[in-house]
Amino acid sequence: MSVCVVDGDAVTAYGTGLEACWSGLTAGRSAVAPFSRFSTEPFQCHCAAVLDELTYGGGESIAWQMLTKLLAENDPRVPGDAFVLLASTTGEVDLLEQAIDAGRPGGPESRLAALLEKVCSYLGGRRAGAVVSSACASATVALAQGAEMIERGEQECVLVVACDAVTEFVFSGFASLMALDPQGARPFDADRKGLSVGEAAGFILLMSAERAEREQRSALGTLAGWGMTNDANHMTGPSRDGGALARSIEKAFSRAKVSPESVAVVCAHGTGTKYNDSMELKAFKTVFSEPRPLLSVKGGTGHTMGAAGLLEALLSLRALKEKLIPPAIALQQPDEEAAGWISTEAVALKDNEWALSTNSGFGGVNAALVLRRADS
Amino acid sequence: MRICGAGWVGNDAYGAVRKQLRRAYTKPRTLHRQLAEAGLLDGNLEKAGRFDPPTRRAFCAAALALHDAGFSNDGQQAGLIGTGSRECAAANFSYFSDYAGYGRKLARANLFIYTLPTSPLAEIAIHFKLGGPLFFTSSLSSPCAHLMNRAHGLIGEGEASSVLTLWMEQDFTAALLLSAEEGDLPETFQTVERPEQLIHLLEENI
Repeated sequence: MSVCVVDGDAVTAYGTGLEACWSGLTAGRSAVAPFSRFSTEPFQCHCAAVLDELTYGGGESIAWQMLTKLLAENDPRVPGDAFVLLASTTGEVDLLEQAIDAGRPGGPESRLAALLEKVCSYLGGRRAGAVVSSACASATVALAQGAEMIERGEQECVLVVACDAVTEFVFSGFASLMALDPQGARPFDADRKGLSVGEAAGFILLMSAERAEREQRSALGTLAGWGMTNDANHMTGPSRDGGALARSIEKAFSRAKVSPESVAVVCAHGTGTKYNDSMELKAFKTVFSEPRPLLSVKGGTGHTMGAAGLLEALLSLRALKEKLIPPAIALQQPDEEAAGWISTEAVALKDNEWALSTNSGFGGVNAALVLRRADS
Repeated sequence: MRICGAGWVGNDAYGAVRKQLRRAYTKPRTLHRQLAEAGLLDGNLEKAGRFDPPTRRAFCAAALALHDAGFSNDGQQAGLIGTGSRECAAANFSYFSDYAGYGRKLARANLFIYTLPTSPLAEIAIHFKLGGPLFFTSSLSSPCAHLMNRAHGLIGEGEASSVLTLWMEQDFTAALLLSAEEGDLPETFQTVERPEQLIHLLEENI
């Protein structure tokens, strides 16, 4: 059974709508900048990719503010029977920050399940749904799970909603790991020193091909294959050889019944940390016999954590449609390992039918998606 | 699906279903050492000293389930799925209250690394070298049915040869190792609402 991507959109630090993000990326403009949401004075880094218009520390979480912006515009297009999968790492953890600062115990209101209930309620209630969390591969795993539910006939239609926000909780945590680049993330750069945190919310509506056809829905593309593995190696760092990521990619290709040679673009996780980017390139070189152009967006969007996989799946489909890969923002001197894969310039695509998108995260999680252009 | 092994840890006792094991314990902080001394857990346990309490309990329940199943790691294909209504709330509270309490100057990485719902699963994957899919999931209803369906999906779609499921609640954690072989999962599991009920059901049926 084929799984169609029939709709999708996102809110990022570039603004509301995927168009704002795509325009920013193609213009070579980064949304990573100094920000004032909370004091960064104790930390080595003072920049992130945030939506300035959101209110921090008020009654509503940053994630919920992003989600309501997103869902307000797109709610009418979501079928009433869509099973909801919420992907996130920390969701509304800023509500916990507020509770602790106020001397309250906090807890239940900041859980992912509470956010899922709010999403379902916002969409009209009486919906079935589940949380999916797998560190910074959360959305990728949720998309894989949604596709699996459709392929197994459990659901006809799955709405994957993903979000994560730049909060003091998250920022201080990454700072404690010395994982933030003071200059802003420069994925695949020879002098890269870490990531920049970013925030995003997005949704993708998956539907069985039969139902999409029955309802005469146009599609953005097809989610043809997926694979998930674990390094079983380290709590925060990836395995050095990329072997487990390569296995997840091979699983995704096998399920999609397509060879790596068919892929026009690879959307890399590309966080900007020394070890992640190096590990990814080793995995790609294991799978591909020759370099493929990399779509690397986190120098612009920041690392949007649990939402990254959903945003990057949408951007991969957009790249296939536009036959264009935006320049790798903030890249100055490509790492030797990345020679032939990454470019400071936009790259025009000739063969543009298939894309691979990968994500990895804490605890050694890896996930890969194989996506196909809509009109092929 | 077949349940190859089931382990559990409560507040003052732990057990394994197939081996009909049930023992009391008094020191939660060193439960992993007690399991090792009893021959129920192998390997280097040096890192287990850093685990937060939910992770230690999940780790021990996983060890008991794998021991119950006679699991010998065939490498990379075993997956891990966790669920639980508390997610990582205790770890989140510990991390941020510590950071805020010390004047927002110093954040502790050793607390931060447990602020994901998948953190206990990751420690288990590292120790037991489980290289299949790893994620946390929780549904708005029918938690047990949802957990089993997701495990069934991974096995049925060839994503994993076996799946270790962890159901982690405040007072009780249940771990089940599931395989693709023809099953003995009682139909009534669909309606189970708590991990201790699941273990009780399995004790009656296996």
